[in-house]
Amino acid sequence: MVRFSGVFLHGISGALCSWEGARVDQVRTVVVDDSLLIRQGIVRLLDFDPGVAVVGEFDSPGQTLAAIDELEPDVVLTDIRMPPTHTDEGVVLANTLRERHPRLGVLVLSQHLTPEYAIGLLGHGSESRGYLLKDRLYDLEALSGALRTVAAGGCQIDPLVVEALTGGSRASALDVLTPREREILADIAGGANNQAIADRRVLTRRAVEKHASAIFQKLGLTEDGDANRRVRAVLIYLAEDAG
Amino acid sequence: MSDRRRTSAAIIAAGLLLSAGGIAATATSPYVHSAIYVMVVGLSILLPFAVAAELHVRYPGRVLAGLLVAVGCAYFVRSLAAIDSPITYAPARAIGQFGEPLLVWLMLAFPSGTLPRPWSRAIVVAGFLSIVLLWFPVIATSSSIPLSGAFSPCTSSCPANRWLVSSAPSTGEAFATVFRVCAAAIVLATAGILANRLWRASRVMRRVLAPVLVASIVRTVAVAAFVIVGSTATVRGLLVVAYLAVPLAIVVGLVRGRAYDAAALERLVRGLRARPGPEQLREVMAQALEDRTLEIAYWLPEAGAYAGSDGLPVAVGDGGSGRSVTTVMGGDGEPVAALSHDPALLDHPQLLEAVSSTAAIALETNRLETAVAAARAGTITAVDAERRRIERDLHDGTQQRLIALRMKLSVAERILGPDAGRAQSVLDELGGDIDSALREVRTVSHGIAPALLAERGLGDALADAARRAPIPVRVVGAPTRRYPQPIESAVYFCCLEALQNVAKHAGAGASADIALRCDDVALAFAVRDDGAGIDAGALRDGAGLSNIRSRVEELGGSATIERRPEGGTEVRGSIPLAA
Repeated sequence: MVRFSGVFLHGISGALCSWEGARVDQVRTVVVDDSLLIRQGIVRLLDFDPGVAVVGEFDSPGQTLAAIDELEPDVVLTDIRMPPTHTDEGVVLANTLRERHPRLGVLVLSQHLTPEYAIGLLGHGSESRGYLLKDRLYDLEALSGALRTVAAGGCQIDPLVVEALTGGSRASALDVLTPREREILADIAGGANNQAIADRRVLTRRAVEKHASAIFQKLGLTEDGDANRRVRAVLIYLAEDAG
Repeated sequence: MSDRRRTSAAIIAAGLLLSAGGIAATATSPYVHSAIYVMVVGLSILLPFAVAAELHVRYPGRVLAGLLVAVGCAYFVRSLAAIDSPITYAPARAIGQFGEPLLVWLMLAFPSGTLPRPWSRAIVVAGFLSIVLLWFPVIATSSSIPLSGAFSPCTSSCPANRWLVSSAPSTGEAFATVFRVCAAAIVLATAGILANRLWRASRVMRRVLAPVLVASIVRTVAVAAFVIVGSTATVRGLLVVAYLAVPLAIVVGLVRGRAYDAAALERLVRGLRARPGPEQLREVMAQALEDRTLEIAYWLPEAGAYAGSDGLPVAVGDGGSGRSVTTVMGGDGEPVAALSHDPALLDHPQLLEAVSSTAAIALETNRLETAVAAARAGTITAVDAERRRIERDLHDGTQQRLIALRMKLSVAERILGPDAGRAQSVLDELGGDIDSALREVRTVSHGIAPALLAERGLGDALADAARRAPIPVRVVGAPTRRYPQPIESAVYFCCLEALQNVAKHAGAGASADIALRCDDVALAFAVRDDGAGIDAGALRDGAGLSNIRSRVEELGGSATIERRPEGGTEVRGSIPLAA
């Protein structure tokens, strides 16, 4: 069970987030937030970590996208809620960057405890993506740790968000899975589709589908669409393994 | 005696006079030996005049009465062919034939008086042209004019043809054959158009049109038989019936229509006596007009727009929707309401007018209620907008400031480092205080207007609320589509309120279901629990349900609370969707 400790998933299972590239010496970071107060706070705090260099500051996603090629950052640290719609601009930015710069890490800052936003972020793949509550910004170790994880291709979701998803009542959810189902869930968490899992585990695609629906059933994920269920299953998996 | 009645009496008098003339002409004819024949001729002239007189009183300004008079005159002219004189014979045979296309015109123009589609017009024009271009040449070239119908009194040794230009028997016969085929085709096409109109007509229009269609079919059969079999006694009898059938059918159709109107108005008046609310009034009027798709939009003068009975604005006007709109005006010349209805009702303007003026007072009453509902809906919308504004202010202002403050504290701690000494414990406390403040602001902000509801809709927001609830909650049938913001807010807060009640009263080990159901008409919710249950009576008067009820009722919906027979409590509500 995850409590208030950070979840550093890349260290837990290689299957969770594809783990590519060498460790980055100094994480080149771009900070995007429409609030000057927050940007200043982040920059001043990160100043204490020699392993992180802030190479650019922006107050909107548009400017950020235009400057990526020139600045060559390892991570974009972005607020989720910015003008013009004040909803999920940060997630949209992350998804745009997924297409244009697949290797670039994105750490989304949010005040939303509700997991739906994190699910929206991971819907396009969990590698190089992180979701951190703004309340945790003051904690330099947590922040720079998350930046490093994401920069290195890992995936990190704020433990409070995962706890909100599991509702604290699914502590032993993974215990109900068979070893084979656990393996397949690990594959799903790694971003593999059913066909890829079938190839890897030497199963028919039909068998993988049956396992997957058994997993969703056992984890209580009965009502969402398939894509959404997969992401939720991954989040539960991450939370369980981290504890 | 009004002008209308005077004209009507004049029409009757003229009908009687011409009918008497026709009877005199046939009764004294050496070719006619049957009293029935004489009577039929008299009736065939009188009947169109009589119906014309009645139509002129009931529906003035329509060409139908004029057409009927013309038909009667044409029949009178034709009856003169019975006189044994070359002076009248040829003109009577030639001009009397115009009765046929006039009758076709009459049938196709019934009941509105206008010829609706290009096809109808073409058929009427073809009827007149066939006489001028085919029948007149027959007369000009035949020394003995061939039969054209049942009312050719003489079959042989008729009076001489004064209009003979030059005798060419084979040419005359050829023209006569083409003319008969043409006449048959026109009669057939007329029946076809009438059948098609009947098929597409509203129920009341069917009642009016059906007799005319029957008459038209009788005529079609008679004319077809005349063309194919020739002038046998049966065919002549059939033609006679057909001549009388059309004016009779018009009378029967109108009487049926009027009886229908009377019954509809009676139903309407009975329905209005029950002082119907907006939805019942719609039903009562829809029943009277036999148009289930009828919609009523009320005029709100302050807003300068129409609104549904829930007070929410609606668009009125065809806008390519294929619906017709009739505006009901009040005594002050301002619109009261707009009725959006089946265009078929336009064929029957009297009923539409009678129904809307009968219902005008009820409509006005409901319009005032609608204005109140609109004001109320406006209040809810304003409150919800205000809630979202506060939520945004908290998020963008207070929360950001607290987060920045927390970071500054962290920076301060790092600058002080090991030198902090005794200050360190104060710094730690300060950090904890800021964290608590942040948590509180977030909870308050979420309670005011959950960002999730505004941004992602009811399904996600309720799933989130279910997760936050202290008891296990299952959400069933959560919608994926979005609804108008006031409806989403109402359903969300009602479910939340109901869940709080469950958590308070249902006892340990209870769980709850939130079930949502939506169709085109309403969004319904039910919150059930399997707990110990509370006294429903106590709850009914409690603040929880009264909050739920007022939220739902403000949007024109309703809410109930009940003990479930199998234990636990169920709160249900339903909110109609604006059109």
